[in-house]
Amino acid sequence: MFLLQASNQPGISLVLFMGTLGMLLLTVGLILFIIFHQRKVIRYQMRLQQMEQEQQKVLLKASIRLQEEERQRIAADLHDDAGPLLATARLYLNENLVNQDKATQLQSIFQARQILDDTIQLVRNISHSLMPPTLKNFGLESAISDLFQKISGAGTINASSRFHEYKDRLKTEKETIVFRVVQELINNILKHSGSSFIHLTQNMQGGIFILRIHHDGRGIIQSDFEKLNKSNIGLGLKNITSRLKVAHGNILFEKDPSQTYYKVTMEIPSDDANEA
Amino acid sequence: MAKTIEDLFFYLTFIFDFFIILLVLISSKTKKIKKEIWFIFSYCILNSLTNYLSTLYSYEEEYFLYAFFTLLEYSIFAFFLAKTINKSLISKLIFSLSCAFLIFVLLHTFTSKSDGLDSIPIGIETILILIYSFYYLYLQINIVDETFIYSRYQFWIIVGFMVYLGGSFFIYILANNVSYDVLKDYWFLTYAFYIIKNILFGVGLYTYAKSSKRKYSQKFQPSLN
Repeated sequence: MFLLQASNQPGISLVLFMGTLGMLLLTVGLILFIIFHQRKVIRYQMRLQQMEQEQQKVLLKASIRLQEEERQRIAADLHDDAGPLLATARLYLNENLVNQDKATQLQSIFQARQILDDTIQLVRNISHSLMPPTLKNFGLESAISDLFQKISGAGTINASSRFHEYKDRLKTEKETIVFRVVQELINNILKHSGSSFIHLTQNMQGGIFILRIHHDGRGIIQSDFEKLNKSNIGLGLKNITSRLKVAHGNILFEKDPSQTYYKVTMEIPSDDANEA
Repeated sequence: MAKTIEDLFFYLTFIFDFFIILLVLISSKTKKIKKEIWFIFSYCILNSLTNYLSTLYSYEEEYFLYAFFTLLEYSIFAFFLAKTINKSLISKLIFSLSCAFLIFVLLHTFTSKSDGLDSIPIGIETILILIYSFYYLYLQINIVDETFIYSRYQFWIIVGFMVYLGGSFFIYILANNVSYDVLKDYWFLTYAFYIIKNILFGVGLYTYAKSSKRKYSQKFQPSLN
């Protein structure tokens, strides 16, 4: 309206010029804004992706390193413990045994048998540390209960576990993952926290398997966990992350609102919807 | 001098229209051209024809010619945008607004006084096309993938619409309210914006040809497993 009123005035030429220039600048400005904004968003997305890839790489490396360490431990156990035991048993059962008197023969056989029993026990222990038979035969609840009883049995820490809703067991692979994560967490608590009790509870909520561990020692919170996860140290924590990733689960480290206990909450979907 | 520049821009519009027509024809020999591109092709023919006829017709006849051209230009741009946005609700909205615009242009053309240029329909056309274009750009902002906005051919064509319509908006709506001398001084700008639009169309068509080629080569990549 203003422009129409101004049309017969001498400034119309200026209005025309300024209007055209203004519209052009507005259009070009908007287009440039959208281009630069989109470039910024895409760059941000790419950086995020790159960070995620780097994180994956760190987790993979940690997992490989852990596997190597486990192999080295088994090799050392076999070489340092089983090897000498079997060599000793062989010594008792040498060729000269037939030339010795009956009493000596009996004693040598008895000693060799004793050593072989020890070796069998040792191999069994190694095998159990790799895959606890309780977990394989009776499931997660029994395996965790067994683990906690052993810890309590040592007498220094009071460890207890309670499963509230575990009628429908998780798949074997998921149970193994959960057990390994619990083992790692408990191992960390025993090594670093100096706590006097560990308490584990299990619940189900909307198809999500929830496991909580409380302890009263020194602990970590989520920010520490994330920091350690990104650093070169904290191999066990990286292992927890990669295991949970496989099970589509997540973990939360926090301090109790009362500031007395540390709490670790693990959530894993019980159905297979995410695995498709 | 001014007359020479105006004439130069006027003839350049023909050359650039011809350039787009040629580009589409060459591309059509190697690949299937989308319907939207054929509409752009038709638009360039239509513009050249209108410009040519405007030199033959009288001032009063020109009014009807321009009104008809505005209607077709709007329809082509709106169709292109509706196809690009590709949302049923928005397409319906564009269709409804286009019907209303068609009725308005017809009523306005046959009821108002024929005075040179159909400023009001052009003004409404510009506003509507700019609104659709802004909506397209808004949608592009919200798309989060790894392709840059300018790697899509539609972007260049829509930017062409925006620069052309936005740039010549004030000249067209004030055309009937300024003296002939003032209008003559600025009229060449409409040609300049038209040429810029055609250059942007050219970039769009080049992007279209390139993207089609890429798709083709990806599809027929041999498996080396």
